[in-house]
Amino acid sequence: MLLRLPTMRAPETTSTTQPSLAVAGIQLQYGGVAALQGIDLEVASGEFVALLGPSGCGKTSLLRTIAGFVHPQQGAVRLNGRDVAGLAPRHRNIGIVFQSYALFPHMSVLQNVLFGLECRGIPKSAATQRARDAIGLVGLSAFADRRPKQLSGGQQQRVALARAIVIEPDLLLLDEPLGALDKQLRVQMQTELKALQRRLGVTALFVTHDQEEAMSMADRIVVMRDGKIAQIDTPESLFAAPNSAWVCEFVGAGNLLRGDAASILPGAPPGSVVQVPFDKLRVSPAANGMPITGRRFLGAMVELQMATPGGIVCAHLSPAAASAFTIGTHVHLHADPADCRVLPH
Amino acid sequence: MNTQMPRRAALALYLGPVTLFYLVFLVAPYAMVLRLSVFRFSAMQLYIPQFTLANYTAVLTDPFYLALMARTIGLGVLVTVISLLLGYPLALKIARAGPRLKSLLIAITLSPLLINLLVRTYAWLVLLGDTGVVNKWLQALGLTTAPLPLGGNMFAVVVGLVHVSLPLMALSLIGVLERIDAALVDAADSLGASRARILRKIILPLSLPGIGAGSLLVFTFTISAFITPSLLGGNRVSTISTVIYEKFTFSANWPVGATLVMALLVINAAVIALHGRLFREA
Repeated sequence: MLLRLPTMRAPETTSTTQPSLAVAGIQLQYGGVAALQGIDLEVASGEFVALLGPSGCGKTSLLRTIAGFVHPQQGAVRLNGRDVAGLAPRHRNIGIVFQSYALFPHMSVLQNVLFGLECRGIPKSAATQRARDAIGLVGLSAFADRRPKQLSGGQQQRVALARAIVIEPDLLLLDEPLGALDKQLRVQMQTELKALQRRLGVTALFVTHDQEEAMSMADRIVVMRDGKIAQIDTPESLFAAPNSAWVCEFVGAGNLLRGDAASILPGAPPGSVVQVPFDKLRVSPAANGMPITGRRFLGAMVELQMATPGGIVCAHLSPAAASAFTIGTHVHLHADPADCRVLPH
Repeated sequence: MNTQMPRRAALALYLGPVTLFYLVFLVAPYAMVLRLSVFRFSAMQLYIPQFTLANYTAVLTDPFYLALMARTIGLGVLVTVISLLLGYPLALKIARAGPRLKSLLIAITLSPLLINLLVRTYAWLVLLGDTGVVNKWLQALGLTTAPLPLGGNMFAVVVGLVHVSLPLMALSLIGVLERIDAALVDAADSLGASRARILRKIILPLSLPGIGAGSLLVFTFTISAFITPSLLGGNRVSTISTVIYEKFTFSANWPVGATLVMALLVINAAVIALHGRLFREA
């Protein structure tokens, strides 16, 4: 069903020395309030990067800075080596998928997708062909003459995507692209979006507050907090080795043990925080242990929750192993020191 | 609490007073005017209650009345177009302004409506007369040697009508322009559209309902206006309204006056119907 756009660039297999997007030393203030405090970020060509963080962390400000809607007080934004700091959005050649989709309500799907091509002065017939190819690529050929309000949320999302990629942008920005969709559709669109981005080989940066979404789509994740970058890593590394207790907690990379509990790890300096992945925390029945306070079936795993003096800790067990435990069962907790990590301060 | 009033009875209770008001003060007068318009004119006793269509034949065939209606409609179109051309940039500025500037600009825009109609009209007479402020300044600055004919003509009428129409037009436009999603402008910008293209392709089409509502308001207001054309026109500019006044007072031809009232009503109804047809989808 999906067509190959002949005009699209092939995915780049060799990494070039020059990053597709380079952001350096961005300082952005809104009326005295610092939204971004020294952001440095490089995104390689063809890479799919997620900006992840809680609301108010500056991820949307960073996206709008890169897009050119806001102008930082300090710092540089380079696109394929071209300094775009002083350029208006219209001169940056960046495709954007807005959270609300921002489809033009008075235009058909085809007219929406044609808009960017018309702005570039591309002859009508060539532009129409490209627009139809892009609409086909997102599987909406049968809906080209519909108005946005005649489409479902998922279909509108695809139109927004087609409109953003048809201009062959140097960079694709997506602002909470799947936020308005229901859970099932969101998971399906995650897969589709990722596949499409790979096929087109377009460098993409997307904003999300949903760590699962970031994990499932991104090549690398930029975790942001209070206008700063907390950590940049691949989903696997981020999960295995968060660089702070905050990141560990935010991405859900395991239990945090503090104080006495941290002494579980021999040699851990006093006052340190120890990360124990949920599936590495073992439980054994013990009459003088602590009670299980919660039990959640997660599908492949069962989560047991225990209230410790240092807070709630969770253990993920296979359903078979978990059958021995119910709420109220008293247990002892163990972990192999090899599975534990002392988190940097 | 199970003695709920039936919906229909409750509705009648709520809508009864306003229905009665409209029946007594709107429908009944129009019915009387309609009746009057099909009576025969009599110089001796105002009218003779005898059915005739002669008044309508006169209004629809006499070149004087045809020119009168054309001039009134033309005045309406002219004032509407000028109000739109002046009001659109103003509304655009207000819609995009910050909250404090917006309140200030809206207050300034509405100020013509806060001045009493007669005071406003006499102020224009003072400004635009042969010995008025504008002509005095023009001569003092040596730009003109004789007074320009600014007052007592169509020019003065148009100026006076635009002055009051502009707030109506601007308000209609501001409401619609404010509701246009800012993300649409951002999207067009990111897709490479210039400011002019964004205005032409996004903002203008999406503000058409406001243009329609404002134009309807200004046009119907303008063609029905009486004091402004009558005073600023200096008895030299006649519109349907001024002639209706003249027919009911000086020349005491009530049947023809009533016929002109009906003509004005039909023109207004036609414009409202046209507006409804054009903007049905919104």
